[in-house]
Amino acid sequence: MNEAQAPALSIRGLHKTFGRTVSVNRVDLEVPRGSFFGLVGPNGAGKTTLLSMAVGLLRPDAGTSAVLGADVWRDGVWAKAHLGVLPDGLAMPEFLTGREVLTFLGRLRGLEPALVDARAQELLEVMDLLGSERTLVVDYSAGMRKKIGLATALLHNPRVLVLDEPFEAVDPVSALTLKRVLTRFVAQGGSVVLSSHVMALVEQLCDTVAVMSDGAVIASGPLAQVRGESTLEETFVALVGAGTGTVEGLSWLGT
Amino acid sequence: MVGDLIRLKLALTRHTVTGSRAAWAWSGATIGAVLAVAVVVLAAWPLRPASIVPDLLAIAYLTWLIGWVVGPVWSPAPPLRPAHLAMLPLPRHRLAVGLLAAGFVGLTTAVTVLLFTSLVVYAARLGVVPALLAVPLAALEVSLLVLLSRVAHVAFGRLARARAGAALNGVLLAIVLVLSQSGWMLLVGVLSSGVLEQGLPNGFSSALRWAPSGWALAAVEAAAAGDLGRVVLVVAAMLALAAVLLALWGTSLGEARGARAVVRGSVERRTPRIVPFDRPAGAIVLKELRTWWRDPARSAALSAPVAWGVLTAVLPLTFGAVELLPWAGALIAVMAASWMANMYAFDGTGLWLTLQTGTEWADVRARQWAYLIVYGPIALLVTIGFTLWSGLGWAWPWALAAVTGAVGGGAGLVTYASVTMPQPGPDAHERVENPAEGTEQIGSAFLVFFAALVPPLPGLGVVYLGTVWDSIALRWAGVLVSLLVGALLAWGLGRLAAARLVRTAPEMLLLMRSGRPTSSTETSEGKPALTGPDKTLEGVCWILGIIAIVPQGLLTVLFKLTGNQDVRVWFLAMYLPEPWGWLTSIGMILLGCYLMWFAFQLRRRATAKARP
Repeated sequence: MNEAQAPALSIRGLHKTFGRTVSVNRVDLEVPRGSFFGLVGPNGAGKTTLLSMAVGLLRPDAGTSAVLGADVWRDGVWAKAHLGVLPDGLAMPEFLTGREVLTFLGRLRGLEPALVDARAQELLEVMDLLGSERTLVVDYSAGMRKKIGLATALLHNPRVLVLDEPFEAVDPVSALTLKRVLTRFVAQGGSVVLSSHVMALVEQLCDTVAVMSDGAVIASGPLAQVRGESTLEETFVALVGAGTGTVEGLSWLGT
Repeated sequence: MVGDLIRLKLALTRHTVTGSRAAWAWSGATIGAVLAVAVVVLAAWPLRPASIVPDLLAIAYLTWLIGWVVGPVWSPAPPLRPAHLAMLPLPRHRLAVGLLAAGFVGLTTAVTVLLFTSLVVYAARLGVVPALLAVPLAALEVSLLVLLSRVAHVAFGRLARARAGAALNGVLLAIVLVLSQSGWMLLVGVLSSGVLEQGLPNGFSSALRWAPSGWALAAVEAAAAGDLGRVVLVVAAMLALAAVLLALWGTSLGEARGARAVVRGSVERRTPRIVPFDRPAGAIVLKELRTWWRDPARSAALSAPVAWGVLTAVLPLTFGAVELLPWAGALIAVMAASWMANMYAFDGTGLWLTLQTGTEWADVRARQWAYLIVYGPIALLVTIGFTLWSGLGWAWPWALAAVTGAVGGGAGLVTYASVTMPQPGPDAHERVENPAEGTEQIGSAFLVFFAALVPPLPGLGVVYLGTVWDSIALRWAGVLVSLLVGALLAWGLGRLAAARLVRTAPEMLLLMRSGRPTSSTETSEGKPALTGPDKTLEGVCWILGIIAIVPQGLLTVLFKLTGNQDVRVWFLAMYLPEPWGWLTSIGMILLGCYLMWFAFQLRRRATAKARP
């Protein structure tokens, strides 16, 4: 496929089992270039596993994933150079400060020192991390961890961003800044894939969505098409099912 | 509630104490039970002078106390953690009592109870009243030990939150290791001093009774002497100490988590422009060095090998032997390799960045450089200093050949072992209760320890030839050979490790993430699936096999060859008249080989079965 027209992220038949549990079941997904793509699904739907395989952090049992037409396993170096990733719950170089993490990564990615310094300063400002300049990442709060993770994902100016739960535990002020950063990134031609539980957020930011349940994508397409007349939340509940947890139980609660 | 906690603990133990950890637990319990029975027999034995029996009992009790206090540093966190129950609306003292009761259910407590039946046995020799009193006193003493152990666990965890504390923990660990491996050297000193014939000095005897481990014994003796006031005093002291410990432990139970001593980073504005390595590798070396300086777990990994090497070399000075001193640096290097045999687990899931930036080669090489920068100068300086101290001029080429081979070989072995046998541990920000807490799977550390003894051998061989042929040039050529072998091993094993990391980094990341091998990686690696009991049996066979081969077999042969017939301690072959002694040494080596072969067969059979 021609690189110039290839989709931002192209997932074909990705499959992963852990023991007897099928975590991701032969998923196909295409993220068009320049789209703001939201992946939603209940807990345990397989979102993190799917995204980990898509960016080359987890080896799939079957299937392929390509970033801008480059396979993440066969052509990993090129794919990863154009990919910014925020994984969920993975460690950083924990005993460095935020700035040290950024300069460390900048050099790992082979960026010019002057460029790294300038970008690190800006990223720390945007993420509101300059106040805790001397704090090591190991002592960061959950929200701060997300923010420094996002900064590392942006540092090398990638063309595709894959973010796993980027707004979890992030305070409203930082979240607002982040939303602006991401919207502008998409407006300038970048592509963003993010997973989230928060329907309102996905509805506000994303133009394309996919709904995942039990390891499979059960609906995907432009936001307006997927949600139809109702809200995304109502569509989501209708698709995934209200589950067995009904409110009719727990009649004793609050009495 | 106590019943529930005990059931919970047993369930947790079933799920967490499996495989090699279960093997260690059962081996430890077996050895402990044998020792405890020996102490009970000693309590009934009519030794002369009579005062030696209670003194030896007091020594045994003190040893157990030390074991109970230091054990928690050595062992992984207990399955039933107080933090799990912190949110239950229970008064802390009730929770403390409940957890304490649950803490009694365990192999170590069972062995300790067995040990303290010796107090009852000994008291029975003193009369009916002391015997009756000894039963509750023994129970109280066991409770005291368990409580002391719990408080020590909390205290060591607190200590480890600061880097200095973690380093101290490493030193303590090294002391325990040295005592358990060469404690017999101290015994040689004691035995040759004639204490057994004349009894212990008075001051020493009473000191043993002042330690909390000797209080029950002191009370029994007071009862036998009819000194009721003293009995009441001692029992009151025991109860008071138990209450204080319980209160101390209770207050720690509901504590906020994560109060670690904060290490501050530097406010460095710019990316360093000049680093003596190319870009990614230079950045990783710098990150590694900063981590060595800031991570409590690394402080312990630095202090423990240094303390172990120095102490092991210094201990023989108790009977005037300086021959081990020049080897201290090499010993440090060997233990350092063993300690870092799982170096990737220190960073846990941080591996994803290596994978994402495609810097696997640079990562392995940079970690090797950091390893050399951290341990190399220390090992070399200790070698030089201690060889000077020993005054043994002939030892120079030997010591230098040993240390260069061990440091270089170690730099290769640690990367290779940590990539081929990775054992997941908690990520740094999850080590809440004890930041120096590592992985509990120490199998690879064990292997690397022995493997790290090998790289110096070619160089030492050349030095040996130089000694036999009386050639100075050849002796110093041995140092050069060692240097070359070390460099070659560091380069070659690092190369293999990097190539493997490129292939298996995603699987390693998955392992670090899930904390245990998941089935999909297992089958792809074709690893055999041993059942639980078989795994335990395998572990027991390995441990007993090594004990039979090394201390009971090879070491006794060495003693016989060097004419040290009077070193007996726990070496069975040294107690027997010839030719039985020699036959025992050889028998032990054969037995050890058989046990290891048996363990190997267990695994092979499981592999054969696992294949379709």
